[in-house]
Amino acid sequence: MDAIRIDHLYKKYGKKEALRDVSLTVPEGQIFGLIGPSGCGKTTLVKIACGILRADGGSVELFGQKMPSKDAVSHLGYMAQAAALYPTLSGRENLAFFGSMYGMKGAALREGIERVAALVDLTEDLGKRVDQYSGGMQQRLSLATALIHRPDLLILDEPTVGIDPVLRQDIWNELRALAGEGTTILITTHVMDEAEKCDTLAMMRDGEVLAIGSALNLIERAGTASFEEAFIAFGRKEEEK
Amino acid sequence: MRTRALTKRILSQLRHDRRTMALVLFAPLLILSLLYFVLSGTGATYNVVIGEAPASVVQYLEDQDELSLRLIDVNGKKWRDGKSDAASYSDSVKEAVIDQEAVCGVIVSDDLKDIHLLIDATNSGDAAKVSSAVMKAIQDEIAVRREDALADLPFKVDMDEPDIERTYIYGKEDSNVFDSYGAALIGFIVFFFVFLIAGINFLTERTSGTLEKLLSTPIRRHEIVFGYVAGFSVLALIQTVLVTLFVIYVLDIEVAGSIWYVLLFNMLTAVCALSMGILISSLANSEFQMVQFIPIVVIPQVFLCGIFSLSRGWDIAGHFMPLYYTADGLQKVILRGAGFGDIWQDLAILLGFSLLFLLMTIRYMRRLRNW
Repeated sequence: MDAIRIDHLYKKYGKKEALRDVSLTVPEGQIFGLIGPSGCGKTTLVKIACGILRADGGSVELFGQKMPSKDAVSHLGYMAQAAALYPTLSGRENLAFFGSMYGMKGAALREGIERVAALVDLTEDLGKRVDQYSGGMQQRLSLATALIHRPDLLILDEPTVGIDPVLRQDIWNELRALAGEGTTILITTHVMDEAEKCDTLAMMRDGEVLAIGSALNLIERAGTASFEEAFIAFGRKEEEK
Repeated sequence: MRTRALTKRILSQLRHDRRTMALVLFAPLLILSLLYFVLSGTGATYNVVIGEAPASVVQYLEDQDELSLRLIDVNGKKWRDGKSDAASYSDSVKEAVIDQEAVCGVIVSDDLKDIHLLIDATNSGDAAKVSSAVMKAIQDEIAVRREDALADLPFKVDMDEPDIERTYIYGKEDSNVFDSYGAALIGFIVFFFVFLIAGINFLTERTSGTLEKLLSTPIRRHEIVFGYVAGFSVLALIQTVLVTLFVIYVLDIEVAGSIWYVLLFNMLTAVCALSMGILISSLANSEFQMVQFIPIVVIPQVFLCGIFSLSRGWDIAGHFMPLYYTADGLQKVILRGAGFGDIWQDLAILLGFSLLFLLMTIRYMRRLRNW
């Protein structure tokens, strides 16, 4: 079964078309990257996939359940682009709150907090208020809130923006490990070299998907030397149409 | 379960946010104290210029204890002696009233036949109070002289004083403006602060992206709304208790009815304010826009809540506003000592408003999700 199935999705903000006939499927256990410049519709797409935003046309299914579905989102972990945290609460209080939103409590919640805090290297800082965290720490805590209930599907909107290279490496290693355990990951990025770490990629521009495939496959199809050049080549092809 | 977690989170947030706590808990006390001093008129002293008046009238003014008056004798008698005519004389008193920032200037001839009051009615309330105190002093003197004159007659004239009896059905002889308006104003102040804080907090949930994050979890719409209501109800309860006790024990408002009903009304008003705040914040996109709603949805309620006498049309408009029932109920309890039988309708309508606002909010959130 596919983790995500997106069919002919349309979304307009006023007159502006944010998504135009977007279709893609993400098989279970994959790291699927959405790549494109800012404003291309990546965030709109993931928000619709998470059930936060309503589409104007088309449909989204998570694990075979049509979105929005209460059952489907309980298997979903979402990390928003801007760290969606409560600044006056401590890191632990933030994690406890989001954990309890997924019905976690008692010992399971406490263990969950320790586990994800260790994962993002914030164990020492859990007692501090989030408004005393650095930008990178907030980003990591935000990731931890998406992981606390061991979701089967992880949707991450630009998770590595503003994070230093060493930590970015760590996060990618962690994502790879999660995928190894069967977690499906949908990730958006505008950094080309990050894209190459994904199993499958969808190149997006102006609300449309230009091409879908593995990094190597896309480079081959475009007949270019690098992934970045492939992106440009697909973009040009679209303009010619 | 999720509702409880949300409530707990809101309480933690409030606990950490000292400034908001201080605003919600102490600003109402400050405002009520100010209103008390302004409306009850305690502490204010009014200047009265005595141009010319019989000593007995001045004595009456000095002896009265309703208002604090400072009598300024400009020694008008000496000016007048022989020198100038009546018109230029009253001009001099007028100047003295202006110079001394007095509310009233008094010119009363010795025979009490010519009485001229020069009144500065910039503040019409003060002017009315002071000039009526002056008139009372003069009339007292007139009454005394009339009696003396009658006593001097060779035959006896039987003129009994009329027997005037005033029974205060509600309120007391020495009730001041604060006693009359204060009851309703307590409700308004509770409403205003809870409305603002709850609304802005719910708005911040949206603008900071945490509402979206929350919507990516299985939480239900009504769980979000009820979590908010429960969290802010705790704050509202603390505020209500503080305000009520302050008004009763510090400002010394006399509550004719039960204090518990006062608390109940304030609590329901707070719940109504927070449900309205949450609803209105759904329509705002920023804190500034939230503040812009205040003159539209909060201020008119003060004018239409029934503490002012209004024409029929406006009075009917007031019936559509929650504060109308708060003001009505609080006045009944505080001023008239009403029991449950007299106030249950006000309570029910307030509760109805709260439920309506909450259902509208939940309904409005359907745009976001369908469970």
